[in-house]
Formats: sequence, structure tokens, C-alpha cells
Amino acid sequence: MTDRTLVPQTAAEAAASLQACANERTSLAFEGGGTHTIGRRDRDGVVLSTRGLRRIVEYVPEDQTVTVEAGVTFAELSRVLAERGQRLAVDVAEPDRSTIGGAIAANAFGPRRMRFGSFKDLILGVGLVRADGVPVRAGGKVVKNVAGFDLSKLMVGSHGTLALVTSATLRVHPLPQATRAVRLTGLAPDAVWELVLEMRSRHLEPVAVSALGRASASSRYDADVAFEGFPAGVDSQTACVFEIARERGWSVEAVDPASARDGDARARTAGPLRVRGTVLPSDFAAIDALAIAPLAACLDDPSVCAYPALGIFFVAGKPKMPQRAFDAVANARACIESGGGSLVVEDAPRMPAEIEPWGTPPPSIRLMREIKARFDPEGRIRSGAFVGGL
Amino acid sequence: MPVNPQPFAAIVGAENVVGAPSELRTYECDGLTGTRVTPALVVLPATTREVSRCVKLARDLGMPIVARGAGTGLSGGAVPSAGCLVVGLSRMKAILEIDVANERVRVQPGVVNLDVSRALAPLGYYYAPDPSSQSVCSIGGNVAENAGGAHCLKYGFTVNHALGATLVLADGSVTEIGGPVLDCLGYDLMAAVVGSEGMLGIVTEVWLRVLRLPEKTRTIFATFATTGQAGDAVSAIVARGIVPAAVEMMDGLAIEAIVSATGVDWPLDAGAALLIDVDGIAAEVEETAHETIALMTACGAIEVRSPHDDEQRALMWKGRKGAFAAMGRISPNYYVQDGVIPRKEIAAVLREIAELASTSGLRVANVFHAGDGNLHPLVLYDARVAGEEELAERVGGEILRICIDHGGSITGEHGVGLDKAVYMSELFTDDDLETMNMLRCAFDPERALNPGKVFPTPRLCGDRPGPFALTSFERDGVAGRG
Repeated sequence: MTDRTLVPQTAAEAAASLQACANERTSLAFEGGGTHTIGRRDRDGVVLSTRGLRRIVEYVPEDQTVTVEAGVTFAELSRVLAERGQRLAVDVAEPDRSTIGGAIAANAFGPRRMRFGSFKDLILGVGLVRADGVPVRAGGKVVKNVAGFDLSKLMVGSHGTLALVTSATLRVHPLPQATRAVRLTGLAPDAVWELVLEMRSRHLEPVAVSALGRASASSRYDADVAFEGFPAGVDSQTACVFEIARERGWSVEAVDPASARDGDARARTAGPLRVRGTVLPSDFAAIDALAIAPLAACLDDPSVCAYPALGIFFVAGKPKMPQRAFDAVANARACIESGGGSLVVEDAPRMPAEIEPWGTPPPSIRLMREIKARFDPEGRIRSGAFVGGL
Repeated sequence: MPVNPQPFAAIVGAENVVGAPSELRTYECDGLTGTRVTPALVVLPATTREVSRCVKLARDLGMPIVARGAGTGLSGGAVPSAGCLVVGLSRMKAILEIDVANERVRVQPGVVNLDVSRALAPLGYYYAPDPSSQSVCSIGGNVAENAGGAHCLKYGFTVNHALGATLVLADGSVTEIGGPVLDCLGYDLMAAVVGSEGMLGIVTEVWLRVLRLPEKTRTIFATFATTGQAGDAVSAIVARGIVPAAVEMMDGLAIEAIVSATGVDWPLDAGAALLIDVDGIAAEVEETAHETIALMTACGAIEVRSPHDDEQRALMWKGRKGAFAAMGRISPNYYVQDGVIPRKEIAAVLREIAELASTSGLRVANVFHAGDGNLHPLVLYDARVAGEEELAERVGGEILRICIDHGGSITGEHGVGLDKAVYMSELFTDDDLETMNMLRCAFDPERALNPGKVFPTPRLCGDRPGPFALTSFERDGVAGRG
């Protein structure tokens, strides 16, 4: 167990906490909702929880921007934004638990990344506390800004190893007037990719394409396609997907958009072993054969969820035999890395030492180490837990 | 002290080294023409390896290094440092790879922005960021400045489209950052490099995300009696949940200049005009165009035009994109400013700018990206009149202060460069700047790349901000402050 958990109630208290840790040379880790902690969980030192930082600092609906403290959950923020017909267009799997700060640190996203991008595309500015306890700010509150180096984007996906994010200013979007979802069932992996290409060639603009593996059949997917916007647009696009399916003899049905979202979220939070792969989108079918299917075959009750247009997939389940599952992870990783992608083990029960959560560091790891050394020279912030021992 | 061009010629070829004083003058400034510094030497490499070897050699000689794209930047980001080596990337203009299936292209930095879209058009794709200088500015410069443009309201800036790069670091070493696959492991170095104004490394290849050409685009032009009404129309459109591809506003003075320079038949008696693109799938575009027009009419639009043919559309956009150059028709000189404000402050800020103009005695024309609150006030002056140039610069500076006071920023897309470094301390605390400097020092501990830009005062790469100290460049007399 950890020594202490600190729960500062304001950014100033958070800065004081980090300052105290710096004075005592205590190592520490930051904690949000605890949904995306990848790799080692620190057993010693201090845990600083952001759950006391829960203010929505400034919401300007006219400018479609909101400034929130790190501990605000997605569900809380969504409620406030919805009152003004807006939303944060990041569909995390566990909105009740996930915090904004944690999601920024983890670069959390969902299927709507296809249209709205990830936090990198939505973050406008941040309030930080550095390892030495100094509070600083980067970016700004306006949607367009190139003044100075944009440290807010550097924080996205840094897994709490550079600085504590205490607040963030984010771009928000209008809630759509109409949402439609369509499910194409039993598609082979190359048909999933064909669907993506065909929709693109017909100028369709889905906000999400999420292919869920069917537990009953290996390498068959049910692809949920979501459209959002004004009624005329979403209806004509939905009709067009039906036409694509009819031409190819694929089975297709309209589904409740909420059920499509739930299915996707379930697949992304399954476990106890869960990996996330990122590949070149056009490699999806090949990767399914070489990496996804063999890994799923080693799991009881496997769940596979892929965003084919983004080249991202999740595989989760209970290892039938742990060693065989870990071998499959290692094989999948080798195959994916050889194509320029990566495979991250997001969660694993009793992971053996040779299965490192992140995989082979990229060629620029030297620069990353320099950055870490400048931001956290004493290596006290969750050090060693990130890629290549960052 | 003159630099011997010979060792550089051995790397890039004698014909690609510029050392003659008369020829060096071509490189002494960028689009910020008021500040000129002659570099010691210019090299025009053709490959990553040549860039790397030139950088190494320059560092061995103790020369600072300034990378240069097309030299169209407006903030002085490519203005040489005294005694520096300019690495001109204009010869590296190959489109190396087009991967339509994955919607990616790999290009060299000297490729002209518009040439990417031209190469992709036959395949039904385009590159979204479209600065007004897109027919001449280069991708490398776009990456350095995080270039925007009229259509970034819907589609984002360079940082949202540049996925990876080959980077030559200050010590001459070469590394890949990011790449065609999303979410490269570790820190997002590409996000750090885009917009770093050539201070973290020299980009020699870039992976760009490209987009399918929209099925349909409608361009709508509307005139209003006042900029206040036009601003209300923008707010109404946005509040309706419509995200236009572009929303541009021009005030009466800007309209006058554009009409005079480009011959578009816009009414000269309007106080303001909006130029809006809505794009997407055909069924939706018709609906949003219709609604946009209705909202503008409700906000007092005097005249609305919405041509269906592409030629008319192109002509309207030509008017807008030629706006800066058009100022030449109504004023001998002009000073472009680039500030950002929250959208809801537009009317108040324009009023303050008008007051500032009338107090100063100078005219200020406004052309701007209204959708994202990015103002481009053009301060008109006559350099032949003693003191007017300085006055114009002062007015420009006051406009930035107005933007800061309204919660905005000192630059939306032109960059800080040399021009705005002094305003950085008004926007950021010393600790904020020190933290940005940590990033710089991680990439370039000797601060050899593009020194003197962005930061208001030279900074060291020590552990702590300390008392005043001269940088090595200042000690050697090769660089000053500012």
C-alpha cells in the first residue's frame, strides 16, 4: 500500500503538495478516476488524487470553450454542457469514473475520434504544477493560438510523468440535432475495411465506425456506423449505407445509437487482460489474421473492438492459459511493431516481467528522456512507469 | 567575420551556397520586412543528410542556425541571427509518397502548401490548412509556425494534420518523430515540434493527413451596415450548431481595398461583409446553407449572394485571400497584426480598435477569421511621413494589448517570431516561459537553432532561472536582445 494519499482541494493546494514532496524528495504519482493507469502502480511514495479539484472554472457557450479542473468527471461536465446544447466530443468508455485530467494524461478516446480527433485536437490550454511545485500555464483560452510552445499538447498522453495537470481549457462542440446508427453484421475483416473505403468514396462522413468482434465466430465483425448532424444529412447517409450493404449482400439494420455506444464501451473495458493496438488503417485485415485472431483464440470470452478508419483496436478477455496468452501478446506485438505500429498492454493480471506494457521505445526515445530530465530532473514523478523507463 | 564557404560547398555543391554579399541580401528578412539581418552564409541542401552535415559543420564553427522555408512568414521567424547559417529548404520540394488508402502523404519541407492539394485533387483529396499565402508558402514553414488559414475553423491547424516528421536536431543528428500510424509511443513530440518556430529542429520530411474533398461546398457572401451586426450573425450561426468550414469578416475599409485591387463587384457602401463556406455531404450542405442565409438575414444582412458555380465562388475567395496585398491600393504601407479574442468579444474589441485608430490618426482596416476570433487588423500608414511607421507599430502593439485584456492571444497563426517576443511577458509569467524553455533545452541545449525568437529575453538551459547572464552568442557579439 502507498504511504499517503493527498487530496488537494484547489490548484494552489496541489502546488503546495508538490512543493512539499519536492522539499522532502518524495516520489509521487497522480491519480484521476483510475480507469487508465497503465503499467506499474507505485507501491511507495505519495499518491496525489485530483478528486478534490472539481470546479468547472469557466464555461463560455458562445465561444464553445470550457475550463475545468482536472478531477471533474466526464459525466459531470457532460451534464453542464448539455444544458447549453453542447458536449465534449471525447467518448470515453467510463464517463462516470473517468476524469478530464486523467483522460488527458492517458490520451483517452472513443470511436468519435474519427470525426472530432483526440484531446490533442481539443485542448486549448492547461494549468500545470511542475515537479518542483511551481504552478504554470500554457496555451490559452481561445480556439486559435500559437503564442509560445504548446505544452498542453505535450501533456496529452504523457501518463502523468511530466507534470500535474490541474486544469484544462477545452474546445466543445454543439450536440447534434439528429443521430443515427447502422449495424452491418458478420463482416470479414477485409469487408470492414471495404466498408470504410466505400463510405469514403461516396463522401459519407460518419462520426464513428466501430467494429465489434463476434465471440461466436473468429474474425467476424459487427460494424456499427454512426452519423450525427442535421436530420436530412444523417438520413441520406444512413440510406446510403443500406445501399452499400445491399449491393454486397451484407446484412444491415438500423440500431439505437445508445446501444451501439454501450457495446463499444463494454468491449473497451473488458478484461482482465486488455491490449490496445495501433496500426496503419489499411493493414487492418492482415493484422486481424496475424495478431488479433491468434490472441483472441487464447482468451475465454474474448472481446475485440476496432476503429478501422483510425487503425486502432482493443482485444480483451480472460487468458485460458496465461503463458500462451502472453506468448500471443508478444507475437502480436512483434508483428505490429514491424509494420510501424504499437501494442500496449493496458491491463493484465500478474503480467510476467518479459511482457512490458509499452513495447519497444521509438527512435526518438533519447529526446523523450531529455524532456523527462528537464521536467522532472530528480525522477520523482511516476518515474520508470512509462515507455522505455521514462 | 566572413565564413569560408568551401566546406559547405563540399556538402551541397558550390552552386547551392550563397555567400556573396549582394545575394545574401535576399535572405536578410522574411514577410516582416522592417527587420533585416544579413546572414553569414546560406546553404540550399537537397537531402536530409545534407541538412544534417551542414548543421554539424555550422555547430563546429560555432554558428547559430536559422531554417528558412519560403520566407513568407509575417512575424520574423526566419529573420537571420547575426553570423548565422541559413538553411534554405526551397530545393527540397518533392512529394515523396501519396497513400490514398490511409489518407496520408509524405512530403519534403519545401513543397508549396497549395501543391499538395493540387497533386491530390485528381484523386479526390486535399490538404486542409490553407493560409492566405498558400500559393507560395511551404509546408516546412507551415509546420514551424503551426499555420492556420480560413478553413481551420472546421478542419483545424497544421498541428491537427502533421502526423510525423524526420527531424534534424541542433547537433546534426537525425531522428524520426511520430509517423503515419497514430499514437506513436511516448511523448507526442510532433505536437511539440509543430509551432515551435524552428527552435527545436529542422524538419526534412513530414507525414501529413489529407482529407477527402467535400461532396459539396456552398459559398455565401453577405453585407451588413456594421461590423457589430456581422458579428451578431456569426454568433447566431454558431449558436445554431452550424460549423461552417470558414467564416471571414471584412470591414468597410477592407472591402474598399479589395474591390479596388481585385475588381470583385462588392458593394462599396457596406460597413462589413461576411464570406462563409459551408461544406460536407450534399443533402446537409443545402440545409445548412439555407439556414445560414436565414440567420444572416434575421441579423440585418443587406444583400446575400450565394453563387452555385465554382468560378463565382473562386472569385469571392480570391478577393478575400488577396486582401492584404490589396491594401496597397488605399495606402502606401500597412502593418499586419494577428491577434485572437474570444468570439463573443468581437464587437467590443472592434469598437476599441476603431477608437484607437481615430485617436492615433491612422486608419485601420479589419480582415479576419471571425469564426475563431482571429483578427487581422491592418494598420495603414505612409512610411514617407516621419514617425508614421513607428506610430503604426505602436498602434499594432496596442491592438495586441486589447486582445490580451479581452482574454485572447497575441498571435493566432503568424507566430511570435521576432516581432512579438516582447509581448510574451504580458501573456505569460516568467515561470510559464521558463517551462517552455525546458522543452527547448531538451531539444537544443546550446540554443543554436533560431536564437532570439519567441522568448522575450535570452534564456539559459541551467537548472534554475538565475540572475542576468549573457548568452554565449551575446558574449561573442553575434546576437543581441529583442
